[in-house]
Amino acid sequence: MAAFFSPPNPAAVAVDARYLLWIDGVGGFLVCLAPRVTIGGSRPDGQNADLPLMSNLSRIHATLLRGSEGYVLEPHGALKVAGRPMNDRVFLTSDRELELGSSVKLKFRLPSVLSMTAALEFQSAHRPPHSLDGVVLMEDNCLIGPGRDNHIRCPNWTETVLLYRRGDQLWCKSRGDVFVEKSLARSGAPLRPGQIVTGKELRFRLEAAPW
Amino acid sequence: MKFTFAPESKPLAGYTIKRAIHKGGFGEVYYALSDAGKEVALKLLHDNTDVELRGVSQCLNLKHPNLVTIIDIKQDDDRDYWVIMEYVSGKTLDEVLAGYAGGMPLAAVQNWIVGMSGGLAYLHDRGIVHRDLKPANVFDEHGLIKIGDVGLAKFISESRRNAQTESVGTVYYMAPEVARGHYGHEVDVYSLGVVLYEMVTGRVPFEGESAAEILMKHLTQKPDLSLLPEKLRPVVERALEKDPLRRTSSVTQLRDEFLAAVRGREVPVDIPASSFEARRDTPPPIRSETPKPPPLPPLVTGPYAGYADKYVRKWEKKRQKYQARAERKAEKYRRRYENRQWAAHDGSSFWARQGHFWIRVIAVGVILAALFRPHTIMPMFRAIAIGGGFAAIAYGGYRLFGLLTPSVPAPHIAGAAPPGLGATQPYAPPPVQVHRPQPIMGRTAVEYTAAEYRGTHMDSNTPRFLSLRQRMTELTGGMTFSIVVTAIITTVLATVTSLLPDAGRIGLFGIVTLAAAWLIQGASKLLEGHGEATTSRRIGFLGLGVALGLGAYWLDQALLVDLPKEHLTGTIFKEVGAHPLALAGQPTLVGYALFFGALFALRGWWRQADGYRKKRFRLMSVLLTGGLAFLLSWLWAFPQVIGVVWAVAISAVVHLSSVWVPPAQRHVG
Repeated sequence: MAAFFSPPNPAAVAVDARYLLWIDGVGGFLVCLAPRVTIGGSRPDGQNADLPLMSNLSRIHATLLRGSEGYVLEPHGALKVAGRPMNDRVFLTSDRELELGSSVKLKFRLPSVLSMTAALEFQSAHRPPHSLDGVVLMEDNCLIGPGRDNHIRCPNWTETVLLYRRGDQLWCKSRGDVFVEKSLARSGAPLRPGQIVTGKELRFRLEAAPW
Repeated sequence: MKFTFAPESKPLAGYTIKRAIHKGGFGEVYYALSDAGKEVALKLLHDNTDVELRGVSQCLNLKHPNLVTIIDIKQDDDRDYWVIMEYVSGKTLDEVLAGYAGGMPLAAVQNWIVGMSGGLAYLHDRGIVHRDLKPANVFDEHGLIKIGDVGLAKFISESRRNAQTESVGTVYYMAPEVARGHYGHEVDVYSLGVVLYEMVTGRVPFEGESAAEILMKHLTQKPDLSLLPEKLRPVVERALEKDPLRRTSSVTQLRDEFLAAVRGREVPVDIPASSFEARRDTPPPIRSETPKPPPLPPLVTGPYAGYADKYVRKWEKKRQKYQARAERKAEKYRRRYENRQWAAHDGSSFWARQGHFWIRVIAVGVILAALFRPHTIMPMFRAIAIGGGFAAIAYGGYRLFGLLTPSVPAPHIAGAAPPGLGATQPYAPPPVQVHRPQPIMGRTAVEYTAAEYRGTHMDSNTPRFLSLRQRMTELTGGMTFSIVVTAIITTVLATVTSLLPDAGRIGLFGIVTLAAAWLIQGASKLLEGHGEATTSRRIGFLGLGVALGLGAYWLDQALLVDLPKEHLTGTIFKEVGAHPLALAGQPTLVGYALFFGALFALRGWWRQADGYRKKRFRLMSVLLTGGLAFLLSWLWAFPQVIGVVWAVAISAVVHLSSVWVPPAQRHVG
C-alpha cells in the first residue's frame, strides 16, 4: 500500500515519454522511448500519433514495434518498404526506405550494431509540426557525436555524449568535460526535461515533446 | 562552436530560441519559435552600422520564391539589432557540394542555376545587388532554391579595408572589380559564374593560401576551363570575364546560355508543322545493307591510353559479337515463326498440327509400359532406337535435298512479322499482338501478348544478367524441391515396379538421383545467363559425371547392394583396356564412372535446369535423356533397365525442381 500512495517521481521516465532534443549547430530531434511508436498524420484536435507528420496520412497510419529481435513495422494504411507494397507486419533491417501513403518517405536506420536504438530520417518534405531533422527510437541508450555509428550525428563535435536509461530516469554521460546544468557528467548525471547539457564545443537542451 | 544564447532563452520579446543554427560572417543565426509557434530564423547583427541597417531595411518588403524572406528587424534590450527571417530547412549548397568531390550531376546544377538566377534577376530588376552570393548562402528547401542574406552584404569599402582579415570563404566568389570599389549587378553574374564552375567541377576556379592571393588571381589569372565540359567552356569563360563590360550581361543571360549548352540547342524550337502530317511507313533497313561502323576514334587519352583503349576496344568487340549473334538468332526465330504461321494458315503440314500429339501418346505409352513391365520394354527400346536411326538418316537426306534445291520463301501473311524487323531488334522481335488464324494442336486461337512473344525468344542461350544472390536463391530453392521430387519418384518406382525391392537399392537409387540433380543444378545455375555453351562446359560436366559415378560405386559397395540382375550380353564393349565394365552383371568402378561421365557430357543438362527453358517439363527432353542412357548402356556395358530409369529419373527431377520463368516475365537485364 505504501508504494501505491508514494508520490510520483517527477523525473521518472514514463513509458510513452517523447522528448525533443534541440542541439546547437545541428538540429532538432524527436526521441521516443516507448517500444511501440505510432506514425500518422497530425490532427488539430491534438489526438496524434507519437510521430505526427504534417501530411494526409490517417491518424495512426503505421506502428513501429521494438522486440527482442529487432523492429517490426505494422501497417494500418498504404505502406511500401524498399518500394514494395506491404499489407502485413514487416521486419525492418537497416537502411530501409519506408513510403507511407502516396508521398511520405522515411528512412529507417540502425546506426550502431551494438545498440537496438534506431533512427528515422525524413526523406520527403513532411515533418512534424516543428521542422525537426530526425527521430530516434531509443532502446537503452542513444549516442550523440561525430561518428557515423552515432544515432544523432554532429559532425563538428569533438566528443561523444551518451544518453541512457538508469532505473526510471534518463542519464547523460561523456568522457569529455560535459556538464548537465552545473554538474560534471563524466561518470553520469541524471538529465531532466528542461535541462541544458553544455560542453566545450557543444550544447543541447532536452524538453518534453509538446504534441 | 560556442553561441551567445542558450536554448530556451528569450533575448527578443515574443520569440523563444530553440537552438543555434550557425555562426556566419554577419553574426549568429538561431532557430526560434514565436509565442504562437511560428518558426523563424533570428540573426543577431554584431557591431552593425547604420549603412548596413539601411541595406537590410531596403529589402524588407521584397517577395520572391527564390529569396529568403525577411520578416522584420527588431532591437533588443541591449540595443542589438535582430533580423527576423523565414526559417529555411534543408541543406545549403555548400553542404550539398561537400557530397560531390568531382562535381555535381548537370541535372542538379540546372536546378540550382535556374533557382539562383530567378532570385538574383528579381533583385537586379529592383535595383539591388546581392554582393555576397556564395554556396553557404543558398539553400535547397525540398527542391526550391532560396538565396539568403539578401541586403546583408557589408559595404565593399568596409571589407576592402580589412581584406586580410576577411574570411576566405567570401573571397573565392568575389568579382575583380570589387577590389577597385566598383560593384554593379555584374558582380553577381561573376559570383554566379564561380558557383557554376564549382558545381560542375567540384572546385573553385581560383584557390590560394590567403585572401590577398585569391584576390590577385581574380584580378590577373585566367580560369582553367579544361575541367569543364566543352560546351560549357565559353559560357563560363564569358561569365568570368575580368572586365564587367565584356562579361555576360545578366544572370538571365547566363542561365539561358547554360541551358542552351546543356540541352544542346541555341534557342527554343517550335515544332515544325510538317511533324503533324501522317507518318509514312519507311521500309526497315535490310541487314546486308547496313553500313559497317567506322573505325573507333581513340577513347582515352593520357599515359595509359594504350592499355585503356585496348580494353575498351576488346569490350566493344565482344559486345558486337553478342549483338551479331543475337541478330542471327532473332532472324532464325523470325523465319521459324513465319514458317509456322504459314504452315498453320495453309493447313498442309501434318507434323505442324498433329505430329507432336502422336509423339506424346507414344511416349506416355512407353513410360507406362516401362513402369509396369520394365523387363519387357528393352526390345521395344531397341526397335525405337533402330527406327530413330533410320528416321535421322532420312531426315538428314531431306535436309540435304532442301539445301541443294533453291528455297521458296514463305508467303507473307497478315499478322506475321514483317521481313527484316527481327534483324534490327535483337531482343525485341516484332512487339505485335499475334492472332493465330486457325486452331493449332487442338487449342483454340490464342493471343500472345507482346511480352510473352518476346519471352518465347529467350532461352538458355540468351546472355542475361543474374545476381549472385538470385543464383543462390534459385539454386537453394531448386535443391530443396529436388529432395521432394526425388522422394516421390523413388517411392513410385519402389511401390509400382519391381526394380527397387529393398531399402538398400532404394537408398542407392534415391541418393544417386538426388546427388546427380544437385550437381546438375549447381553447375547450371552458376553458368546460367552466360550465353551459348562451349565444349569446355561439356568437359566440366564430364568431370561431374565421373565424380558422381565414383560416388555411386562407393555407395554401392558401402550399402552392399546388387543392381537388378541383367544379362549384359548384347553390349558392344565389355571392357575398357584391361578393366572390365561389369562383373557378374554388376557395374565396376570404371563402368559407373564411364556411364555417368558420358551421360553428363553428352546431354546438354544445363538447358534442362535453365530458368529460361521452353517449358517447365518437356517430355521429349526427358525421353531423349532416357534414349541416350539406353545407347550408352548398349555401347558400354551397364545394366540397361536401371540405367535408363536412372537417367529418366534424374532428368525428371531436374526439370520439375529447377526454377522456371514463364515467358512473359523474361528479360535480359
